[in-house]
Amino acid sequence: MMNNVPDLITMVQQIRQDPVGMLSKRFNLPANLPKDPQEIIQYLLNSGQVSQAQVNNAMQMRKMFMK
Amino acid sequence: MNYNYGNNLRNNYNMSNMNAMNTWSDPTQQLGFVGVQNENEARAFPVALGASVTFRDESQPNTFYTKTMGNSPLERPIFEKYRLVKEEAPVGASDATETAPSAKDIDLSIYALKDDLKAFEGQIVELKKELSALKPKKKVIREVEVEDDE
Repeated sequence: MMNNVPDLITMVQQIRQDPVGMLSKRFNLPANLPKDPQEIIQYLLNSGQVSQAQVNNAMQMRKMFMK
Repeated sequence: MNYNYGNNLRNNYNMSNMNAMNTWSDPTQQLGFVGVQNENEARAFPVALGASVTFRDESQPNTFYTKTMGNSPLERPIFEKYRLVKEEAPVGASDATETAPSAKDIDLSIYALKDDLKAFEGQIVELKKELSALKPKKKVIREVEVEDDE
């Protein structure tokens, strides 16, 4: 996958256009899940698809970038 | 001539980059706390079922929060707030030896030895005896009948 640059570019473009749609496909988010980041993260945590440590790190990095 | 100068520089740069990335990729595990700006941010932070997260309030340095989720999404999370209080006086065994007065600090001149006190006690007893000897004896007045010769 890492060797296929055109596919990566396409993926990045899709994420930019419809990030929630991509997330829904990748993580099998239910259709009735509110499109709220907190709700999505909580669902991912509850379903065990991400760990608490990953969430903590992602939130910290997000704060760093948003400064 | 040091032909490896460029390589050394590159290696050092790569190592420092790796160290920075390692630190950056896992900052909370090194510190143990998640930084938040206020209590609401901590309350809204997503926490996994059965997990507990500790937050440090960056706007109030001595304030910490913990959010603990139960095993069911229907349970309300337990949120606690803590304040760190610094104690001025150090606590520990070493304090007892530091605060206790040493033999050097005590003024021994105000105290007398037991033997000296016993000697004084003996002198007091003798003085009492001498005093009692000096006291005048009580005079006994007898009634004498005088005959009338008239």
